Amino acid sequence: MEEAESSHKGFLSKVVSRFKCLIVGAPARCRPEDVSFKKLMLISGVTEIFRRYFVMNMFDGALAALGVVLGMWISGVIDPKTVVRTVLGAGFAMFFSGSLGAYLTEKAERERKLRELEESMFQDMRGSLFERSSRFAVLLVSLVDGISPLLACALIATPFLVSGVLNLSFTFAASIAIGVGIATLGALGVFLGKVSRGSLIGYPLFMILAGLASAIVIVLLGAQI
Amino acid sequence: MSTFIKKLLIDALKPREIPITELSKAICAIKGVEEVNIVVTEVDARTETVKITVMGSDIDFEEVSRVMAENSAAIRSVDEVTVSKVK
Repeated sequence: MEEAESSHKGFLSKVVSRFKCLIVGAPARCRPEDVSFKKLMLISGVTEIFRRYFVMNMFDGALAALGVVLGMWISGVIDPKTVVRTVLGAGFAMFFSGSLGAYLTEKAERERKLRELEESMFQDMRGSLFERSSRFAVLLVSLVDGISPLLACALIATPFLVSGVLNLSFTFAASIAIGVGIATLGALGVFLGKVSRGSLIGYPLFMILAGLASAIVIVLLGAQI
Repeated sequence: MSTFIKKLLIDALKPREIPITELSKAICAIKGVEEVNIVVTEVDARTETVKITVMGSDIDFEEVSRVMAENSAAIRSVDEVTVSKVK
């Protein structure tokens, strides 16, 4: 039984490893250690870019979703499904714009770096560890760039999504959604505080204030129009 | 009569992003290689010049070249070689 399970795991890890080899364009004799995520992340130096894009885009997504929820609320929309469709629509638009934009810009930058390195080394770097790690970085960055705003939108849309099942009023669902949005901004601030190894109060406070400022502008704008 | 390469001293160039620990482990994983020593001799903006000493019972130079190219390192010259003969 245990043997069957371990062979199953072995097969699965082989499939995962082969898939990783394929997506990073590793050579035919690709071994699992050639495509170890830890190694590729270390060489490509993607961790820092990954963190930066994650926070930037999740902040974008959270603020945009908060804006949509507030805008619809003050416009008198009372259908939760309309809010869910709009917020998720905005989320998917940001997913595509973020991931494709990041893919193209990161690819161009990495290709430039690879060409410069080839010139310095007088060697074709195709299929090398450096090229593999560059390709991995491009894919990872574009994925993070797309998923982070979508995740923020999905979090903020959740209270409206479950409001039908839990029989919540629109106002209550909107209040929870705004609370979730503010909490997301606060969590991003705490993450930035940890990254900077600095203040765990300053960053969240700044993020939440940005959310509140955008909310005030939206409410004031709604009152004027 | 067979000859075996016991030691190679390679002068190579590698990108700064590739750690010498990874490069040395990759070379040491080759069959017939028992010990690898890497010394960085020069650091440039994008690249590092390294002296790689490969020791073993039967070193396959082609395989060492292949693994080095796969790990983004370019061989500039082979500065020392030790070969032994088995009659």
